[in-house]
Amino acid sequence: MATYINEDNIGEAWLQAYRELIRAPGHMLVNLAVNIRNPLMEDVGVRNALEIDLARLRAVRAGVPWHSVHTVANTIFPISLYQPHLPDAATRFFNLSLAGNQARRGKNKGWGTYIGRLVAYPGPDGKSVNQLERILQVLREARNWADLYEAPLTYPGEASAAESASSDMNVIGPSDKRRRGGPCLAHISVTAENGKLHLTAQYRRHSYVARAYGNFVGLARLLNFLAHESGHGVGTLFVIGTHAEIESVPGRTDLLVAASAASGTRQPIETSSRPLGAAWSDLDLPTIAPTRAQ
Amino acid sequence: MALTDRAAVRDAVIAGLAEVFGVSPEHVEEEICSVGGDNYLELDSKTAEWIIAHAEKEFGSILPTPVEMGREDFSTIGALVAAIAAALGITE
Repeated sequence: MATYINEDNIGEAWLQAYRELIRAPGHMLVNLAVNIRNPLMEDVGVRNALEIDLARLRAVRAGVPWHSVHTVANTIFPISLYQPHLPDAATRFFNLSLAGNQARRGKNKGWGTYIGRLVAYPGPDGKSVNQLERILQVLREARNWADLYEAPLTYPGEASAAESASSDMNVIGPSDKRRRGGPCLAHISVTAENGKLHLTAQYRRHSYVARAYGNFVGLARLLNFLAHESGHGVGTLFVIGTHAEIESVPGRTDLLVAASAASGTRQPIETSSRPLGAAWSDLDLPTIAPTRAQ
Repeated sequence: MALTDRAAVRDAVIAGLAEVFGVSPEHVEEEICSVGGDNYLELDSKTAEWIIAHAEKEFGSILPTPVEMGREDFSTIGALVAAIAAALGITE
């Protein structure tokens, strides 16, 4: 059982995948595979429709963390910390991400954040491994290797970062008892082919209202970072949701109608920090009229 | 380091922001002037997270993270300075 989506950009891919989920029994699909041919492009009409709906849901579903696309994307690749014009941009990005991650003490402390797992995955000896740095080193040193670039973000049954430092994925696999909650992104794989990098990501559970669009943007930014810092071009982004769903929220079909009507404005995504002094507030969820919040 | 006053908090925030952008604190001050003041230079949550981590080292105190703050507490330089000062018990 699988559903395959193949679209030009992030917005079109999200919209087509959402359409398939609306049609699916229970609004759930097993193995929803989404291929995005130009992941550095999006449809801002689709994104705006989604952002308005997320703001509406924040108003009607208080207590649920409905975040903007930018905030979700930041969990994978925080663009404000990437200044590609500076010397040693990758090292600077790693250092800034590590410092912020180490200081983080939110409710996700148990497993951390996606960017935290990418730049400081707990190793078996108690030391952390910078998976992105390792991937970049191989890409820079041996461009003829196509498939040496794997980055796990979780393993089945894991309960905490400390546990992941002392367990064997192959041994504890059958003990998977995790229910809902993070991390949902399980694995990232990078493939180098003909001068381009392609990124594949696997989600154990992929929620298409709250997370998928922001995940696509964050993964595309990560792909751009790895390609830019290793002298490669940007290839395709392929995302598999082994359990993909539209959450149980009011107005699911209305969102499809609104996003479809708004689609058609193709635009590049941002891939690095805005200049010092630039505005950021436009990336927050929009303010919606009280009548839409009813 | 002994905490002195709100000005020390602001200096730490400016220094942290300068490090993120790879510029001098003087350059940050120039940008603040050009946008109209501390309350008009906007911050992203990840930048704020880094600045807070920098301030924690500077003052040796545990500070609230952006996740624990409201957006309004880190949306600008002015807001973040006020939030950190409040967390450190500076009332002036």
